[in-house]
Amino acid sequence: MYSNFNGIEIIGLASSVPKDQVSNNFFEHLLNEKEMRMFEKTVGIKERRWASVNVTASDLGYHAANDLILKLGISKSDIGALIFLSQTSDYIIPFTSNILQHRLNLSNSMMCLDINAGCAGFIQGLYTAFSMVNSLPDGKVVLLIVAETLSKIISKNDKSTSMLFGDGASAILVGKSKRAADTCFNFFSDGSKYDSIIIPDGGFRNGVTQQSFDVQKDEKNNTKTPLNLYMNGQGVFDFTLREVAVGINSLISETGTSINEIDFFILHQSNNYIINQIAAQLEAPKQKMLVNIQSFGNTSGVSIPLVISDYHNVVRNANKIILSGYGSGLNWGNCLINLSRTNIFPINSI
Amino acid sequence: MTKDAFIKLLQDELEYENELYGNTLIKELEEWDSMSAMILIGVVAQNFGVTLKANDIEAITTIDSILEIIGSDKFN
Repeated sequence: MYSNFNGIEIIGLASSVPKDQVSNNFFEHLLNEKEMRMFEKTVGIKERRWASVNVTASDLGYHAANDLILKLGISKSDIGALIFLSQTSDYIIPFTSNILQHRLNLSNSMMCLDINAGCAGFIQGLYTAFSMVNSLPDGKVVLLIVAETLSKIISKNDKSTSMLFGDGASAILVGKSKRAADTCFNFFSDGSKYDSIIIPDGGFRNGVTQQSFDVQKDEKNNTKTPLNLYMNGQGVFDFTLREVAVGINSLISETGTSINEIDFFILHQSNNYIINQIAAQLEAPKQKMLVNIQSFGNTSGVSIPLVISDYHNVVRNANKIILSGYGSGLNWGNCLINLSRTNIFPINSI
Repeated sequence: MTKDAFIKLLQDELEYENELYGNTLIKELEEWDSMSAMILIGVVAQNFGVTLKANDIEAITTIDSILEIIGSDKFN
């Protein structure tokens, strides 16, 4: 699916991460020295941020949003819709966006919407925000909050997931402007592989039972329960190498541009090795791939805006940036965007 | 690339302590894991323009079997 927006832009973007840094030393019980070296060499993660027990994704999102609203000095009454995108919401019912609407002291005259989306979530959420603002009166904006605390759903004794994920949040304000450059999206989905990244129990297909708390051990001695995140690493790796570059090339072709004209590529920060492989498939120089996986790990849908915040001095001078998200669902999607008019603020540790 | 150069390259990238040969059953080695699969896929993609898929990785037995999947015409 291809879509093009004219006259809509990201007005501002701010990001927050927990102050607690968790280095790879924390996982010495899972990997030997050589395995750790290979992990750092390939996956590329050296440390990640994990929220403390009492801090939720919406807490991180609240700080990012509050920071953004204050710094931009926009009127809260101009926010016509609030989207909260996360897989680690406060409750199953109700929407966390409602909780944030009240906590941020926003108007009652607005639409609140939660989206449960994974590593492609930023692209999906951004597309939703662009679609919404399109139908709002001039001057109204949409607040998108992407926030995750995946540290709370992984087994700390499963080396296939525990070392990969970090926590964080970004807040993004989307509005109309006659001076905005075109923004283009494309999306893909393969529901046949829905179980490649999954928490098996706790929904309404497999409700929580006594067995949901049983610790299971795999052939590599990783242990987890059906309430933890499960990932078919090999299958997901296979998918990203087959599909992501094809999807990006498709967007580049549909928008009539070329790889050489793209200033930067910001790919979901899942794995440094994957990012390098995709760069090679695209025949794009590695210098154009913006990466911060070494410091924050895989923060799911937050990873792309977290890179944008981290490279705020660089991306504001660029005209053409490709954003690419891919993950659970399986979903993958891309966006060609100009951030030169966007107010981007550096990452805030809280 | 020669077959021997490929095996040497793989040995260097994987950093295996075991010496690799054409008839080495690579997945039987204790050092083989998902990171090894990832590195193998990267080495093959970068040097031969061939993307090994999950079913290719499943089908691999010996180093020679990797060479067959890549295609014997790619080696001199």
